[in-house]
Amino acid sequence: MLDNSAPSISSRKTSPIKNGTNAQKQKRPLSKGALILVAPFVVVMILVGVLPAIYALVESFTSPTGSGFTAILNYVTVITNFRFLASFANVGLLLAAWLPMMIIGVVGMALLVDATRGRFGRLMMFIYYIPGALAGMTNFMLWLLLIDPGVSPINFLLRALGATSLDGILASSSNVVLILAAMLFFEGAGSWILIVYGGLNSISDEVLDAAKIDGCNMWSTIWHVKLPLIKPWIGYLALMNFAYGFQIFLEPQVLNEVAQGLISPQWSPNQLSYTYAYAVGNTGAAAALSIILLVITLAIAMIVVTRTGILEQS
Amino acid sequence: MRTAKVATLAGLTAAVSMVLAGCGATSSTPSASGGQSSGPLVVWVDAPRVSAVKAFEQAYPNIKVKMDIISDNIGNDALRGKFELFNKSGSGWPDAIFFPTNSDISWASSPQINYTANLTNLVPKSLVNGYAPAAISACEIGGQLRCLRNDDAADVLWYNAKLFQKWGYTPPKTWPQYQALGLEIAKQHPGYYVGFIGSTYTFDRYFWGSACPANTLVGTNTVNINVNSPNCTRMVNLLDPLIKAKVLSTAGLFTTEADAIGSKVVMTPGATWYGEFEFEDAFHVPPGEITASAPLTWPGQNYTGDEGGGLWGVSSHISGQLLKNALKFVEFVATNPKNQVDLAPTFPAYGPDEQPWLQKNVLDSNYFVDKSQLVSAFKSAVKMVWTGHPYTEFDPDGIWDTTVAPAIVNGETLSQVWPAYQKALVNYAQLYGYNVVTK
Repeated sequence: MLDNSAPSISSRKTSPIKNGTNAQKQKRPLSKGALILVAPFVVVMILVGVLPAIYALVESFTSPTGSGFTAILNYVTVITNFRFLASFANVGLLLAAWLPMMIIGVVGMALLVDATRGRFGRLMMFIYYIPGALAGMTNFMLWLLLIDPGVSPINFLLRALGATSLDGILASSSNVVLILAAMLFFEGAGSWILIVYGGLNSISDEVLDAAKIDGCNMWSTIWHVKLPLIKPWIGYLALMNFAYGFQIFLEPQVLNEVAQGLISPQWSPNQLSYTYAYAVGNTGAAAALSIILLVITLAIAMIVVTRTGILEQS
Repeated sequence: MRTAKVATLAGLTAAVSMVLAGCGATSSTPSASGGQSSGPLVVWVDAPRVSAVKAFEQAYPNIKVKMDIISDNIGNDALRGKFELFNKSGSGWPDAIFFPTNSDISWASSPQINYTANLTNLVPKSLVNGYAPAAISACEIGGQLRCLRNDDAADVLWYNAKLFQKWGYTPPKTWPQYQALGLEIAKQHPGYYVGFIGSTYTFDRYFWGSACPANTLVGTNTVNINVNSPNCTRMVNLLDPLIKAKVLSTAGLFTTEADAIGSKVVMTPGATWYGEFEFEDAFHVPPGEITASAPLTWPGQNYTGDEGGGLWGVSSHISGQLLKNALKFVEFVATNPKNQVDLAPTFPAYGPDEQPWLQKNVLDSNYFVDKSQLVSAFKSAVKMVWTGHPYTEFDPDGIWDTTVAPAIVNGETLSQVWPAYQKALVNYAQLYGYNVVTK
């Protein structure tokens, strides 16, 4: 219906060229400035992103016992591991439970805040943000306390649901998925509501007024105007959270320690990679699994990027 | 625009490559390096062993000690990860270490990591002879002495003497008697327990003592895994009716659920440290009720299991004065009564320290009853630990926790989950590079 870009960003884009008298003189300080701005990022990206990835790629083709090219041996080792499919299945279930929760929940709450601009909206925004204000892992630790019927302040609720012990809750693999999904939601939702709300804020009043004049009620404004305009933000939300969930490591690792080993130490693929690197001492296999994760994440990132046009607007 | 695209993707790349960077496996790297012969003595201990280091500093004020405290989480992989990295960089090893998980000794002494020094000719023979053979066997790896034992955690039968007297029971001596009494308690006193079947040490408590081959080394790198052997299935058949009768709690030993029902435990097989750390500190059973008797056995087989009991190692990467200091250190903390009797809360593995420790912690304590019976139970148990269960890089007890414990909580019986347990043991053994036989 409306496919013009988000106004606040597009208007900024062309400004520096406007008053140019000499194109060459104008360009040089510009490119230098751009270089200075991007250089620190590029340096860090090469050091902690690109170089380790290249190292992993080389390592994944190197024999686990020492040096030497092994072709795809490490990949075969990893793929035939008894935890390989199981760990991907776990992460698949987690993403299936958590991503919809995250996207619908975050966008829904951001729309609610957006619908009540003013003092009440700001108050609600603050309330939504509170769980996110606790740093991610702190939030997670709090959850560990909440779900243990032995010590939980809400144990009356847990008992009403039939749970009498943490072991009893964590022994069910579907419970583990739901608990991780809920923990991740509360870890991230607050900050993401802010980001999506920022996207909603960038929709100009003129557009909304025009929609009203055209006869849109609240629902059709949301459906036909607001959501299409914040599609890139939703795409960004989906992409970043997919990447985090797919490569999940810390949450099941900590949950495993609290669960006294009741959850597999190789619950997620990243944990399997960690086991290879640090418990088995097979860095080649660990690298091969990392490369597999990288390829899948990049492939899905490309799909999300091209489908939602995250980067086209800016 | 292009930069932004690349940047987004690079961000993902960075996140993935965190795996390689080690995700929090950072460590403080002490000053030791290959062949180093002088400098401060770098020791790594868990929190409960800090007092031992302090006692050593007092006894040897001329030796400068640098202590790092490491996580005492049992089954933590991060420690091995650090040693993998030290080996790659050729420096960073501590000069002496307390291993928080006993199975750590398997990788620490493996040809691949090769961290712990062979102490066979470095510590006096008389000192080694002070240990009961069953207690020091965990350190005898491939014919070499690769560690010194800190404490002995052999299993005995703990029971509540007050309840036994009130209900007119006599403590069982054999496993079949244990089962019979358990079933009787289920009928006459529902709500009481005769043991724990959940996470942490359950395999060690019931199956190690039953001589069940879950990780028996039959060659340098070959293990025999056969939990379908009669030595294992007899225990499965013994425990299943007790699980069904609800006298075995599915709670893990170190959970809040176990603490909550702890005062309802009539009896349980358990390690020498259960008295203080479980019944007194965690279950809060009042003084004057708890005692222990000799380990439960199968007719004709005088074995028992073992639940922990720490190990001390010395670095193979040091020499000269530094090595001498490291040896002085482990000998002191593992055997000297100034630590093992005066400070250690756990039952010393070093024979000459046993009696003074028992005097201080049992006979002079007002917590236990039938003290002389408890003392002789401890003394006999340390000689009975089955030596066919070494520490391997895969831990049957840890695999129990991920495979068997959840199934039991979900209402399955041991016999139902048993094939899955055998399979998981074989899978993990192969993951860690062992050849597996099943006989």
